[in-house]
Amino acid sequence: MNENEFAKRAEELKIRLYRTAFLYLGSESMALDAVDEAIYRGFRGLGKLRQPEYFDTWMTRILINECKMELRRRKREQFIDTIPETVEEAYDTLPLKEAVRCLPKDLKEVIILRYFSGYTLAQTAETLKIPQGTVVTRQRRALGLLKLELSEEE
Amino acid sequence: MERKEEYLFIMNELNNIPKALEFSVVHAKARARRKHAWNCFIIPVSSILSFLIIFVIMINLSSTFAMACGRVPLLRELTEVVNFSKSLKAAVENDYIQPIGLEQTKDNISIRIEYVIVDQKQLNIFYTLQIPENSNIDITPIIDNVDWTPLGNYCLNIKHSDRGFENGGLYLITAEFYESDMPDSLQLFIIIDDNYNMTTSGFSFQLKFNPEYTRQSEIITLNQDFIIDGQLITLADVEIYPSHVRLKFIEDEDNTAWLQSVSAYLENENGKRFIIAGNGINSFRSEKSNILSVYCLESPFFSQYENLSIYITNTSWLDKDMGLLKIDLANTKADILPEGVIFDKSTYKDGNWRLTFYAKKRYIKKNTPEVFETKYYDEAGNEYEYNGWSSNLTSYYDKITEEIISNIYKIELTLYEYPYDVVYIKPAYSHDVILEEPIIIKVGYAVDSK
Repeated sequence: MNENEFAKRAEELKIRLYRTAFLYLGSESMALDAVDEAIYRGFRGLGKLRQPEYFDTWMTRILINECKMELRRRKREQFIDTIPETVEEAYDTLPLKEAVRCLPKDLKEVIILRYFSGYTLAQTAETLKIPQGTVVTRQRRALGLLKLELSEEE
Repeated sequence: MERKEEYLFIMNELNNIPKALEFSVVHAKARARRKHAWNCFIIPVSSILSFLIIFVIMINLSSTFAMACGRVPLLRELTEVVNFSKSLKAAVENDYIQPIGLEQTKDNISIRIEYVIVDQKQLNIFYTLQIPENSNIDITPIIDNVDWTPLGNYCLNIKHSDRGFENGGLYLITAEFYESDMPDSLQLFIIIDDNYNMTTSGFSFQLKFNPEYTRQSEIITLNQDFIIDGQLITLADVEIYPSHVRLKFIEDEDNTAWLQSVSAYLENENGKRFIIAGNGINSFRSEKSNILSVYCLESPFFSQYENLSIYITNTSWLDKDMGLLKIDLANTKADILPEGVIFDKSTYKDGNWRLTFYAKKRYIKKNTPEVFETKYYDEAGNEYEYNGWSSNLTSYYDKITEEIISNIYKIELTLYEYPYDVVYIKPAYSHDVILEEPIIIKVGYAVDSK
C-alpha cells in the first residue's frame, strides 16, 4: 500500500475511528487527538502492514492502543473505576455512556466496536485478536450488565 | 430515559463529527514527512530548541534598500524577513523575486501568498496573515504536485518570531529539494490551527513559477580527493544556486567512519567569504546512501568573481562500529558517549525518564548540540522516538576533577512511557576532527554577476 492509498483508506475510516475513540475516552478533544495520533502512527508504520485487506482492523488496533495510552497519560484510569462484573446493580445507576466506560476492558472494547462503531463480528474478532465465539460471549455479557437489549445483528 | 433511548441518543451524538477531523489525515501526512528518512540538520539561533521553532527574526534594515522602498510592495518587510540570509538578501537586491498575489479567507483568517524566491532546488514562500485578535496559531504547510501526488524528497522550514504569528506579519516557508528539481508548478496546502479560537482551516494554492527562475543553477565538477583523519573523501562537485551552494562529498566505502558534517566556506579572489547558509538547512544525508552528503553555503550567485576557493576547516564523524549506545538509566551510566558528552542525571517519574546530559561546545558555531538521533530502542529492539529536546548554555561542575566547565550545553530529553531501565540510542556523531590548516580546493571558475 502506498501513501496515496493509505490516505484514501484513512479518510474512509476516520469517522469510525473517531466514534470508537469518543466512546473509549469520553471527550471530543481526546478522541480527536487519539485519531490524529493513530493515523500518524499508521502512516509511519505503513511498511509493517503486510496484508492491506486488514487495513481497517490494523488501524483500529493502533487506535485502541492509542486510547489506552491517552488514558494512562491523563491518569484517567485512576479515577475511572472499573466496576466488577459481580456488582451488576452499580451499572444500573450510571448513564449509559459512563457505564460503558466503566466496563471491564475486555467487555468495553467489544461493546464499543460492535454496537457503537459498527464493526461486524468478524472485524471485531480480528481487531482484538480473539475468537468470534469469545466476542459473542463478551458482547452478551456486556449487554447484560448495561441492561441494553440489542440484537446481535445490530 | 430507557436504556435503548440512551443508546439511540448516543448514536445520534456520534453522528456529530467535529470539523477538525476533516484534516486528520493531512495533519498526519505532514507530520510523517517532517520525520522522513532524509535527515535535516537545522541551525537554530535561539538557545532553547525544539523541532518546530527554528529562528529568531533578526531585524536589521540596511540603508542600501532605502531608495528601493516602494518599488515592490512590502519590500521593507521582505528585507527584514530575509536579513538572516545573505543569499536571499542578494536575491531581493537583484529583483530575483516572483510576485504571486494569491489570497484566501476562511474562519476569519486570511492568508496571502505575496512572493516566492525560487531556483532549481529551493523554494522560499513569503506570505502575510490576517488573523483574529488573541489568536494563537500553528501552521502546517504541505507541498505536492499539482495533481496532489507526492513530490520528491524535500524538507520544509517555517520561520516566525519568538512572538509567534501576528496579524499583518510577513512570514517565510522554505522548501529544500534534495535530489529532484523544482517543478514549474506545485500545490501548496496550508493548515492553520487556531488554538485560542479552536478552529482548523485549510488553504490551498497552486503556485506557478517562472521557468527562468526554476532553471537557475551552475554545477561545477571537481572530483577532488583528500584525506582527513585517515578517511578518504572526494569533493565531487559544487552546485551554485541563487539561494545557496551545495558541496557534494562522496565517502570511500572503506572508510571506518561516516562524515557527519563539515565546516567550510567559499572565498572569492577578493577575500569575500560565503559561509554556512542561514536559511535553516545546513546539511542532509540520505539513509539510502551513506556515501553521499551535501552541505549548504551562502551563494555567490549574484556576486562578481573571477574564481572561487573552497576552504574545509573542520569535520565531524561517526565511527561505523559505534552502533547503538547502551544507556543504563537506573544507574545513570553509559560506557560510551559521543566526544565531549557527559551523562549527568536520569530521573524516573510517572512512567517517564528524564535524562540530562552536558555537551561541550563544538567547532560548529550556532549549531544545535545534536548529540543523539531521535529514535531509541529497548532491549527487545522495539523502536521509540522522542519529539524534541531542550538545551541551554550553562556551567557544569565536574565532581571528579572538581572543576567548573563553563560555556557547556545542558541537554534535557524525555523518554515518555518508557518502563525499562536500559535504553539503546544512536549517536549523532562520535568525534570531531579540527584541522590545523584548512583544506583548500580551487574551483577556478570565472563568472560575471547576474
